[in-house]
Amino acid sequence: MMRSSSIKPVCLSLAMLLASNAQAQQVLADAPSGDPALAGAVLEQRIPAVPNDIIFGLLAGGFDDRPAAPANDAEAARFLTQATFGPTMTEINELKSIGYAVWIDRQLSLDATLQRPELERQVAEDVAVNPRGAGVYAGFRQERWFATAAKSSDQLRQRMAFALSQVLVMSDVGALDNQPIAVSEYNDILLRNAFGSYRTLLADVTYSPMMGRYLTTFRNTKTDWTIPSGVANGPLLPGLVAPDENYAREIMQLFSIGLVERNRNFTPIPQAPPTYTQDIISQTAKAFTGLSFSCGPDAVFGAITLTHPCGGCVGTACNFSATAYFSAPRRYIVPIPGSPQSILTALYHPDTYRPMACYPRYADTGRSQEPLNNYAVLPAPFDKKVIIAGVTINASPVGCYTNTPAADRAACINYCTSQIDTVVNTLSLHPNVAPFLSRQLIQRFTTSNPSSDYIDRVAAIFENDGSNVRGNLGAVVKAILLDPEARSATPALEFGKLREPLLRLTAIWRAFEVSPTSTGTYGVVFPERIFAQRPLGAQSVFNFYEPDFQQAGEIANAGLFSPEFQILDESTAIAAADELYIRIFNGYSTAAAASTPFTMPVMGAGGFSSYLPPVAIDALPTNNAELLEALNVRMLAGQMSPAMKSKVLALMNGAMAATDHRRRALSMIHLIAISPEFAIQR
Amino acid sequence: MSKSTQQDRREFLQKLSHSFAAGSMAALLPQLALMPKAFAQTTRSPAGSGYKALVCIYLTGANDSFNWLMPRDSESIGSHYDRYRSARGGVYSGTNTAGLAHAFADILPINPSNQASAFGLHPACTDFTAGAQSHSGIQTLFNTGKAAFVCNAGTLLAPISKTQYDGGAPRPAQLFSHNDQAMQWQIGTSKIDPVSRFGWGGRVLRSLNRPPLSNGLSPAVSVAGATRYLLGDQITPYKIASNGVNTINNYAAASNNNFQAQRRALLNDLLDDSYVQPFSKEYATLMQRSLLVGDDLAVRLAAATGNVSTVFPTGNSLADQLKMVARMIKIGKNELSAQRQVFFVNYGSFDLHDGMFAAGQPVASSGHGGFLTALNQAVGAFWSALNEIGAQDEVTSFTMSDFGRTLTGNGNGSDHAWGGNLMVLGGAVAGNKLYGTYPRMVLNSNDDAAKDWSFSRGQYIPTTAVDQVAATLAKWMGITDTSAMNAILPNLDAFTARDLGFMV
Repeated sequence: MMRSSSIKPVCLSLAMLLASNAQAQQVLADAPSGDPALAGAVLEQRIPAVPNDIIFGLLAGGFDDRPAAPANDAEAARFLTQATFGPTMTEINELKSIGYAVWIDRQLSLDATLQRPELERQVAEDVAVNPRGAGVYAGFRQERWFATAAKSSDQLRQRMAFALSQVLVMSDVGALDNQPIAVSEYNDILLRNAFGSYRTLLADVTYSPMMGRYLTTFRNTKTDWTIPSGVANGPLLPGLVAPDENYAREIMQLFSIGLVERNRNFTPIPQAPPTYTQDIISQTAKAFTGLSFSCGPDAVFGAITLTHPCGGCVGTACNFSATAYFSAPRRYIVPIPGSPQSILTALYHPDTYRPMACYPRYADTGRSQEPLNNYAVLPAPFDKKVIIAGVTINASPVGCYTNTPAADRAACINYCTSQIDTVVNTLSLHPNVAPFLSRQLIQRFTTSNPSSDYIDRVAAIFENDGSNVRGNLGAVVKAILLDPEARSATPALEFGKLREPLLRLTAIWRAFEVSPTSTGTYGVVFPERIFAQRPLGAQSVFNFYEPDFQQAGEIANAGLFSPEFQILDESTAIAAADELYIRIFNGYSTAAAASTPFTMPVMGAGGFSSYLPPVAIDALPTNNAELLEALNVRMLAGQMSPAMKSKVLALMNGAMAATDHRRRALSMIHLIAISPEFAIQR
Repeated sequence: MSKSTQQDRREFLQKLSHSFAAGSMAALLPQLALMPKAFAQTTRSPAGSGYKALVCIYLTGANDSFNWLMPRDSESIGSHYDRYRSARGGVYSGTNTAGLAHAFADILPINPSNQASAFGLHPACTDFTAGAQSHSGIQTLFNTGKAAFVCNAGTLLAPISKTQYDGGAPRPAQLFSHNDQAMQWQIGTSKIDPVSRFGWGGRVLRSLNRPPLSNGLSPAVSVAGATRYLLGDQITPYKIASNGVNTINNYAAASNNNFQAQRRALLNDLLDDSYVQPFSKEYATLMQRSLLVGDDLAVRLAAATGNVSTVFPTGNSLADQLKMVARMIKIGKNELSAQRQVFFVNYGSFDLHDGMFAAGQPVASSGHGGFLTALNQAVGAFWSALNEIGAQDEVTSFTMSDFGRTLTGNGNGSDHAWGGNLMVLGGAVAGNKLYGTYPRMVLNSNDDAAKDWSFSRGQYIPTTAVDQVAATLAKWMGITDTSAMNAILPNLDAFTARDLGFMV
């Protein structure tokens, strides 16, 4: 249990960072209320943001020849491929006129297109007239996601939330498969924090019951210390149960600092021990206890009222109520007349997604659960929790139990939330976060193999956005997109990435103005079967693919990382090709050789609902070379190789010369869609 | 690219395969466009080659395996069966719906030759017919020496007693977590480096230097989608559906419809191009291989030589998968000169926190019995198919599952536990035996002498490790070198027996 006495350089620098904070002008940002027992409570500094040219200056560091705006459609398309779900001609034109920085600023200022409020409304409306099981409504959630990706204005925020969902992974595979509304609220947490503070994001994720259920902090059981002999001052013994370590492990391994001590440019620090030990996990797990649903008032959805029966408690008394702690927010269930079965819908009381509350009786307070010794502080070392960077959480100043006196309740609740905040705050200050997070975000936006310098420039912005604010995610994404390595017109050979499967689909949708049917649906139901990817539907907390995956062969031999290749194989490659064909040609009949009539697709009976509307296809140039160039700009950011151009044109001017324009356009679109050149984004 | 070029490519691949056997790969063929380079450098091949295959049957969700293999000595008070019955809350019945034990009379008797007392199997494990064809069930397979069970196996970092556990001795990370435990079973050890990418099936193939087969097919084949179990260094499993290969639609080289032939030619041309950017190049290679292998396999599967006449049960997804495995073994052996293959199938979910029994339904075929019936029939039909293709002695199948389940119930099901029983099946298995130690079936057991340790709900600490099971099968596949085995299973030395002895 004793920590090693050797001081690691990284710990020193964290300690120095903590010390320097104390000297600067500070604003407490929903921090604990100054409890001296909580050593290491950490704070953010806030000063208003500074203009773009300072950011540019910080990034430029010698590179000053980057254009402020794309010189042509192709460059604009390339940027939009990195920053949105796919370029559209409208967006290309806007970007050319206002330039990169202003485009980003506008995106940063747009309101988020949230998921949960609309989804909840739809579900409530639907279950009132046609209640179905929860699985149906999981499809509603996905529809909302795909519709937003296809059409929303806040594209950069949506891309950022999608990227964050692949780092701070939460999935409906498992405990939340019946709760699409709660899952969509998690998506909204990512959306709301996409350009905000990393620390706040990590805190919101930690307190969400969705993450609580997924990685088991929800009602995580602490070890109760009691005196089994019943003798006053008899030996105090720990119970058999120990807190689940799931979240304590993953918040460090995956959501913040990783396993390896790193420099700011992501290179590993030589001979450094791992970032944390099993012991730190166990101690941290103790802090993640005491959380359960918060207790809110009845929720009314039209004629449906859902309760969360917390036993009639009021105010802080609820935090000490076992009834409240164990109560379940109610679900809308419709009995089937004449049957013992019922319909279990996806409509739940909103406490299923509101931030969890802290129940001190169930939290590890470093004190016993034994009235016989008056809830005494536990013997060392069990009174303290030593978490990352040697930060120590001392025992609660007062005992916290079911019948805690009113005078002590606030202190207990404060202790309960403060220890969680301490873990979150400390982790968010760790020097590893900047490179660990920056590298992964770069991988989601621009390239699988950023140079150390690229990572370092972005990580530097994470550490200080130019206004002494740490963890400014909006500044980070701007830095990623404006970095010289991302904007270079002549990138290195290994620059770029295999497109994520879902982004291939949305790129084609957006390039050709995809339309849902009159019911507004896009009809992507089980994308994981085709693409091995589904929004907030990863098979495990390790996401669809790992950041360090290296495709066997030349890529691995060259020491390159290629995460998206982890889900590309015979099955998904061919299945994706087939799926894209259906979606591109949906509604268009290829029965005749010389005409390609369009009939509005009908949802159901095997039909997909979304389609590329004739108005978009017919508007493309009729001349084959011009047509191909238009597709080149929209799909390949103008990067189509001369060899590919000549081969495609040979077919279109040769065997397919007599076919109609639509047939040629759609055939070209699909050929490009499955070509090696479109598979990659550069 | 025309058909003849495709034929050239097929011949090229066949040449590659022969060269591997000869060990002079690099000299013979400078261009390794479709093959991972590293294979050119190694020359080992297993001693006494012939053909061997492993079939991993993964039971997802954690099978309640103490209701699959049970004591059946006698009903007397104090008997092993009595302890089992008592620990499981009594026999399930209409008046004891919380009970999880099987009635003595329902359990199918087996008489393991190395046990002092009798055991039994879940009533689902009977002989059966599919269509008009009779098949042996697991009970018969066990009694005729073709199947064995490894008892109370599970993930371990090192042998651990209950006292040691309570004292904080190292134990596998994330016990009782499905995903994490499944990963440890598939990697073959609990001593995983943080980004353990490879499964022990893939590692075995890599160590045996198994390159792709003559048509480009990987020696690792999954009929159940992506699986870590088959991933290896330079080993990428080929994924095939139980109803056949994925060949691309709307690009048929033989079709005149909608210019398919011409578009296919163009696609082949684009894939065949030289790409300098490594990601484009790899995508092209992979896509090309998918199309070539897919087309090749589609032809083989469509022929009678790629089919089996054994009648498999219908409406049984595990049976569908195992039928495809049988066909792929047949094709591999007879047409592709395969020597070592590893297959992966899965079935589930067995995560029966509730529904272990269904009121008013026959125990053998409902609740847990429904799943075990499907397993029994899939395995039994597969055994018949192996007989048909003459591969019973060459193919060893085995089950794996996340963990065992609690002996005590929660009202109508069992919860997550740790050690459980798994089955191995094959002509090369020393069957009609139980390996490892079958637990005493006691709650809160703490018997160091008997190595019988359990927690309050009968969650048994495993006394045989996943590593040891994997090592025994790896050795049968041809891993005889100690350092090679340690490379595949880096924590094997934490355990006493490197070979559990269940293979002949």
